[in-house]
Amino acid sequence: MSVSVLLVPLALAAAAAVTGVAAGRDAQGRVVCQVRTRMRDANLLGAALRESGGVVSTDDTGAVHADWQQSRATFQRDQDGIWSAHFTGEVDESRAVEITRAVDVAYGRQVQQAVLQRLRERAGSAGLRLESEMVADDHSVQLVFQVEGRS
Amino acid sequence: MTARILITIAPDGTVAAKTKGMYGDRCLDYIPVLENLLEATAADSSYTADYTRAADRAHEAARDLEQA
Repeated sequence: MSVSVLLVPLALAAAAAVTGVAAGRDAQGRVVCQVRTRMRDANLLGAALRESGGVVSTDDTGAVHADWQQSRATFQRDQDGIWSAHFTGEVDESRAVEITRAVDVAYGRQVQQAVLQRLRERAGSAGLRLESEMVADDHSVQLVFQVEGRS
Repeated sequence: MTARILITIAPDGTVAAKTKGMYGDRCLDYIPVLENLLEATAADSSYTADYTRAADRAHEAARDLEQA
C-alpha cells in the first residue's frame, strides 16, 4: 500500500447527515420544521423517499414533495444545491429529524449503488480490471482492481 | 509486485480507496483518476508504509552516491 484516500461522491455534501433543525408555525398556525440534509441529487432523493415509504411528487418550482400517512415534507435546494426538508402535519422537531435520518440512510444506500454501477461500467476504460467483489457484514462493498499495464 | 487498488463503498455512500504495490509519488496519479471515475472529491488522504519505505530507499541511494 502506498496511499489511502477518502472520497466523497458529488451526490453528497461534505456536511453532517442532518443539521440545522428549526421549528416555527406557518400562516395557518401549523408547526413547520426545517431540516438541512447532505443530499444533492434529485433522482437519488426521490428513490430514497420512495424507499422510506413516501409518496413522491414534484412541482413546477423544482421542489420535491413526499407524503407519509401523517406528515408531508417539501424538499427545496439551497444556493449550494443541497436539499432542505420542510415538514408539516403531525410532526415535531424530533420526528422531523427521525424521518430525515431514515431518508438519509436510504439515500446513502442509493449513492452506494450508483457509485458501484459507475465503477463497474467505467473501471475498464480507466485501465482497472476487477479481480474480486464482496459485501462485508456492515453492508459495505469491497472491490479489488488490478492496475493493467503496471507492476 | 502487481499494482492494485482496493475500493470500499460504505452504505452511507462514502468511498475509501487504497493503492497496493505502487511506490513513491506514482500512487498519487490515481487520486484524480478515482475522483473522475467515481464523480467524487478527495476529502482526505494519507501515505502508508510503502510510500515511506520507497522514499527512504531513494534517500539512501542518493546518500550512497554522494559518498562514492
